[in-house]
Amino acid sequence: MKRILFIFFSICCAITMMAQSVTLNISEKPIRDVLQPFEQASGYHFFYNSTSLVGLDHIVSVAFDQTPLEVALNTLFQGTTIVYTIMDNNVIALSNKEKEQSVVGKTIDGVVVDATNFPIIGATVRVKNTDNGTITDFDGNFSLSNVKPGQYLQISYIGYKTYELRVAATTTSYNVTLQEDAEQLDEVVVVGYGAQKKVNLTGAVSVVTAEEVAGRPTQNMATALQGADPSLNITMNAGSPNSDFKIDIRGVASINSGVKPLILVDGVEMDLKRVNNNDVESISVLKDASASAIYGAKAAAGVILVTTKKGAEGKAPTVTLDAKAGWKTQTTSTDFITDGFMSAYINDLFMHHHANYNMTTYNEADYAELWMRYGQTEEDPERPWAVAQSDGRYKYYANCNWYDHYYKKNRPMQDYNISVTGGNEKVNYYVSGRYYNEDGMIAINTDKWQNFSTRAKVNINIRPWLRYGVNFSFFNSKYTYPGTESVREVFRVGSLHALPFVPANNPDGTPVYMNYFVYNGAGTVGDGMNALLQYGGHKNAEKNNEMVIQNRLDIDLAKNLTLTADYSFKWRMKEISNRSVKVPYTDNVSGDLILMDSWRSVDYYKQTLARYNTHNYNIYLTWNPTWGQHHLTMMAGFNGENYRYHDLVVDRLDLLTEDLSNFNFATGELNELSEKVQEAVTNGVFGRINYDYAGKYLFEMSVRADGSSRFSKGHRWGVFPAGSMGWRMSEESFWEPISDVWSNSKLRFSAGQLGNQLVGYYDAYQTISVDNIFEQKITLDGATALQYATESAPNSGDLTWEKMTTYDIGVDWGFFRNRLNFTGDFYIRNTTDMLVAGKGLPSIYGASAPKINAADMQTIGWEIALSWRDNKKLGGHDFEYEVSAGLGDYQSTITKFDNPTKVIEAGYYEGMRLGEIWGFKTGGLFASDEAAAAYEVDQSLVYGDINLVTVDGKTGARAGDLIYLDLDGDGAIDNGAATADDYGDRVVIGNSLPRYSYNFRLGFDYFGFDFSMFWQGVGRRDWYPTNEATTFWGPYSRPYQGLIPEGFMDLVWSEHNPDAYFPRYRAYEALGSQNSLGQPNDRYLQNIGYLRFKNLTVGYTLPCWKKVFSEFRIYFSGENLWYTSPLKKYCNTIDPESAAALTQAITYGFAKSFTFGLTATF
Amino acid sequence: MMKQFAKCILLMVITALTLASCEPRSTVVLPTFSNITISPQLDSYAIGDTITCSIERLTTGSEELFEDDNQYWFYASWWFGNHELTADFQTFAQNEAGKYVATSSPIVLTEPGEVKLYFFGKLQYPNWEFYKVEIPITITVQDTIK
Repeated sequence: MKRILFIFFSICCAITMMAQSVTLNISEKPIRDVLQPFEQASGYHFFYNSTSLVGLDHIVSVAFDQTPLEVALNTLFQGTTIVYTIMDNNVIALSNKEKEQSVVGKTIDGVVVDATNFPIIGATVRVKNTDNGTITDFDGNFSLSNVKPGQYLQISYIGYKTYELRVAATTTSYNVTLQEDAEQLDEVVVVGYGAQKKVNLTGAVSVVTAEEVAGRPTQNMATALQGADPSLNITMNAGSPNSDFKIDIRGVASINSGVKPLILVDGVEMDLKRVNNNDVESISVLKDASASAIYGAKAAAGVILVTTKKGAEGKAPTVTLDAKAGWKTQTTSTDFITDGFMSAYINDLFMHHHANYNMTTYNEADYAELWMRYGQTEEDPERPWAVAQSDGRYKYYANCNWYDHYYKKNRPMQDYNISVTGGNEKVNYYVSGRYYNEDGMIAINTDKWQNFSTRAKVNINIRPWLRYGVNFSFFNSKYTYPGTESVREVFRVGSLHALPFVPANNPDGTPVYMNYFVYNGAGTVGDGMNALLQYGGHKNAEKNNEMVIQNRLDIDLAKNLTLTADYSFKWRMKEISNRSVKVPYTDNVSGDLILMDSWRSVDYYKQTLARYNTHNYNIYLTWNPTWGQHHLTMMAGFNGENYRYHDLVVDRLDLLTEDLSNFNFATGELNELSEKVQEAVTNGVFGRINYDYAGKYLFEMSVRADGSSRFSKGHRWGVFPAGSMGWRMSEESFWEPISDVWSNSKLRFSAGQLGNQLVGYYDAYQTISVDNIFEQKITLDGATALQYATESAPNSGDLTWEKMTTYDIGVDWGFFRNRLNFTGDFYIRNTTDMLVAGKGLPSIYGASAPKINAADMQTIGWEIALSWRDNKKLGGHDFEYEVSAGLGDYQSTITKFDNPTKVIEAGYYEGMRLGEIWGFKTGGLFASDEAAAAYEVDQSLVYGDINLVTVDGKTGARAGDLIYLDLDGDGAIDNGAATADDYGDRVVIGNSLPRYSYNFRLGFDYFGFDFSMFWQGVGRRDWYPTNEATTFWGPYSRPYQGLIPEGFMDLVWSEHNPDAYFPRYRAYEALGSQNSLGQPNDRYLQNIGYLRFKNLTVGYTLPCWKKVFSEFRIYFSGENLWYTSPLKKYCNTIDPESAAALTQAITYGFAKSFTFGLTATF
Repeated sequence: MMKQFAKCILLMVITALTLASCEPRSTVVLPTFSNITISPQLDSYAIGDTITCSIERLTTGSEELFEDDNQYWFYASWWFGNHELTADFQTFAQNEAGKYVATSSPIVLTEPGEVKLYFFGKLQYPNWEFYKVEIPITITVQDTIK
C-alpha cells in the first residue's frame, strides 16, 4: 500500500515539476545566494545542509525565461557535485560523493606580493577548512598540490588582510596582492572620554589586553595586573584574600599618601579588587599628563581605564563557561626549626650572651629531657611532651611545629565564570557572573573568602541617531576570619613565645597559654593567639556589597557631531563585625579553667557599617569632521561628582552569650559609639582638540578646570592644560624606500599639568571636636562625666592644589611590517606645591603647624617595550607566537622642602633622593676578643646593650661583633648633626623604591595547544629589616621568637664559623636603635629585587564536539610559581614583596596557585 | 650522527644531574658504643630489684667533637612522665682493662612488665651540630615484690 502511495506521489510530483517553469536572471553570484530568488521564482523550496554541502560557493550566472524547472536546476548546479531530488514542491539538494571524489586535485602555484609589488616571504597559503597548506618562499612563490577546482585558497600574513580565491577548473597559477590590514593600523585605544587610533596617539598610553589578564587564577584584577606594564607598580600589602594594594604609575606622584592613580571601569571609579578579570576587554594605562589631563583633579598620579566587554553585534547568543579549581600554597619556604631542644638551646644561647642569664629556666636535666625527645615529630606516648610538676603545672618538652599548627600549606580555591553575549544591529548584550572562593592560610578555624559578581551591559540602537546603553555591575564578598580584629595579628604575635619545646595543647587537650619556665616568670604563648584561636570564640567578618549602575545616551545631532550624556551611581556598603570573648585556659593537671588576662580576652561585640555613595555625571559633545587629509576631533563637556561617606561604629562590652553576636545581648559599657560623615563635591569642565593631517602630523590640546570642595573659597578651582604632538615620519614619501624594514615610526612629545586634590576632606577648615571626656571624669552631678570641645590645629587659609607637570618624549617604532615593535618614553615630572606641615612654630603656640603648599619634587624616568609577533607554518600547521619584554625605571628627588638645615630624621630635605636609606658602613666582624678590644673607635651609639651588660665576665665588644666604620675619623660612631650636610658616619646605603621594573612574556598557539608564560620583576630595591622583622632576625630580635628558619644557625658567627653572615649570638641586638643591628647598616641591607615566574598557562582546545561547542578547551594555569631574589641567600622564609609591602615583613603569606580548568563556548 | 650527538647530550645531562644531586659527605665520624650491660644479669627481674647499667665506648669519633660539651646519661622508660626522676649523668672512665666505660647509678625497678633502659648521648660538633646517641635495652620486670 505504501509503495503504491509513494509511486502515485512521485508521479504527481513529476507532472507538477514538468508543468513548472522558472524565470530568473542573475549574474556572477554564488549558488548560495541564488537559491532564495530561485525559490521565489519557482515556488519550490530548497532543503540542503548549508555547512557541509560542497559547491554552494560556486559562482554562477543564470538567465531563465520560462525555463522548465528541471532544466533550470541542472543549469544551476552544472559544474558542481550537487545532485537533487524533487519531492512535492521541495528540492532536496545533496552532495554527490562519487562525483566529488572523481574530481582530481591539481597543483596550484603562484606568487604573493604586497601593494608595492614586493614579494611577501612566509605568507600562509592553504585550502580553506583543510590542513592542506604551505608558505611562500623568499621570492613570495608558493606551490600547493592536491587542490580541487571549486575549493578556496586562503592567503594570509600578519599585518595584511586575509585574501580568498576560488580555484577555477582551468587555472593553475595565481598572482595574489595582499592589502595592508587597516584594522591593525586602526587599532583603537580607549582614552579619556573617547577612543583614538593607536597610531595617532601622542600621549604615553600603554595597553593591556584581555588575553593578558583573563583566565588568570587570581582573585582580583590588581594581582593580575601586577607587572603587566613596567610603569605600573603594584604591591600587594599582604597575601590575605582581603588585602589592599599599593599602586602607582611611574612612581609616587607626591610624598603625601593617598595619591594614587584614578581607576575607571567603564568610566566609573572603582577598586581593581572588585573587577572580574574575565569581564575585561582592554586596559589603557594613561601615563603622562597629556593623556590624563582630561580627568583633571583625580588624575595626578595617572589613570587606568578598564573597558569591559560588550555584546557582539550580529551574533547568536554565545555562552562561555569557564571553571577552574586548584590550590594555593606559600611562595616561601616554610621550614622552621621544630625541635624543642634546638629551640631552647638557641634561645638560651642568644639570651645568655645578651643578659648573662638564660631565656628559659631549664636546667641540665630538662635539656636531657628535651634531647631524649629530639627528632620526634609526633608525641611518643612513652615520652610525653608535658610533664606535671609538684605544683601541678606542666613543664614542656615538646617538638611542636608551630607553623603547621597555625597555618595551612595547601588550601583549595575554586573559580567559576559564565557569560552570555550576542545581539543584532538593534540590541547587543553582555551578561556575566562569577563565583570565587578560597580557603585562607590560618589552620585553626580557617579564614574563608568568597565573592560573587555579576555584570550586565545592554546597548540599544533606538534610532540610527540615538543609542542608549545601560551597564550594571554588582559585587559581593565575604571574608570570615578568626582571631582579633586584624587578621595580621595572627602572624605578628602568633610565634612569640610559641617555642617548639612548648606544645600547642596540654595533655587534657586545652590550649597552652602560659609557659612558666622562662626568666621573667611567665611567657604568654603567641601573646594568647594560640588559646584564643583554639577556643574559637573570636569571630570576624568583613562583607562588601558594591553596585554600580550607569546609563548612557549617545545622540548624533548632526553629521560627525555626537552628544554623550551619562550618569552613574555607585553604592557600596562595607560591614565589619568583630566578636571577642573571654578566653579560658588551663596550666595544670587539675584542669581548672582560668580566664586569660589580656586585652585580647575581652567580651565585646563591635560592628562597623560604612556606606559610600557616589553620583557621577558627564555630558560632552564630540565633533569629528574630516576635510580631505585634515582630521579634526573636538570634544568639550562637563563632569560632576558628589561623594558621601557615612560610617557608624558601635562597640559594646559583655554579651549574655558567646554564641550570638547581637547588641540586644550586650549588657556592659558602650565602648564606642561614633558616627562619621564625609562629603565632597568635584565639578569640572573639560575640552580636547585632536588634529591630524594625513595621519602624519598629530596635535592634541586639552584643558580641564576643576573645582573641589576640599579647598576653601577662592582656592577651589584649578585649571590644568596639556598638549602633545606627534610626527609619523613613516608616512612621509621619503620613508618609502625603507618602509618594508622600518614600517612605522612616530615621534611624540607631550607636556601638561595635573592637579591633586587628594588631601583631607576638611584640611582647609578648622574643625571642632565635642566628644572628648575629661580623663579624670570630672562631673557636676557626681555621675555624668563632663565633655569638652577641642579645636583642630589652625589651617592654612590659602591651601590649594598640588600640581604635577609632566614632560614626555617618546617613540613608537615598527619593523618588518610591524612584526617587531618598539616603544620608548623618557619623562620628567615636576610635582609642585605639595602639602606638608609648614614651618615649625614655638611651643607656646600650642598647636601643630598647619599644612601648606610648600614642597616640590622631580621625577625622571624612562620605559621601553619591545615585542615580536608572527606566525609560521610548522609541520603543516599554523604556529602563531609572540614575545614581548618591557623595562622601566625612575628616580624622584625632593627639590624644595622647608627643612633648611636638612635634618635627615625630618623625612625630607632639598636634594634628597626619595626612598633613600641612611645607614652606617661596616667593616665585617671582629676576628677575636683582642681585635675587638683594640678597636679604638667608640661604638657606644650602636653598642648600647653590648657595653651595658657583662657576659661571662666580659663587657663590650667581643669576637664576632659587628665593626662599624668611623668614616669621618673623629674616633666615634656618630650621626654628626644628623643632617644631610653633617651626617657623621652615616651615608646613603640604599633606596627603598623599586628600580628597573621589567617583564617578559612568551606565548604561542599551535595545533590546538596554547602556551603562555609571564615573568616580571624588579631589578633592585633595598630593605633594611626593621626591629620587628623577627622572621629575618630570628633570636637577634626577640629571644622568644618561635619561628627560626631551618639552617639559620649556619649563618651565625661562631669561633668555628668566623666568616658567617650574622654576628655574635646576642638577643635583642636587632631590637632598638641603640643596638648594633637596630641601626641600618650596609652589611644587613637586603636587595629585595626579584624575578618572579608570574604565570604559566598551558591549554589544549579539543578538536571534538564541534557540533555542540564552538570551543572546548582544557588548561592548567599557575600563578606566582617561582621566584628568585638576592634576599633568598640569607632568608628564604620572607617573600621579597612582603618586605616591600611592610618593613617588618611579618604578614599574611603570599601564595602561589596551581589550577586546572576548562572553557566551553557554545 | 644526530643520534650520537643526542646520546652525548643525554649522557652529559645525566652526569650533571647525578653530580648535582650528590651532597658533600660529612666529615664527622661519630664515636661508637657497645650495648648496655646490666648487672646483675638475670632473665627477669622483680619489682624492687636494684640494677646498674654500663656501656663501653668503643671509638672516640672525630677530633672536632666537643668532648667537654658532650653529655651521657642513663634513663629508664618509666622516668619520662615523672618530674622527680631525672637523667643519670655519667662520664666515661678508663677501667682496669683499659676500656672506657660509663656505669649508671643503682636503678631500682619500680614498674612491672617490659621496661626499657636507655643510654643517651648528646654529642656536639662545631657550629651547633648535634648528634644523638640512643641505645636501649629491654628487660622484663615481674609484678612481684621481693
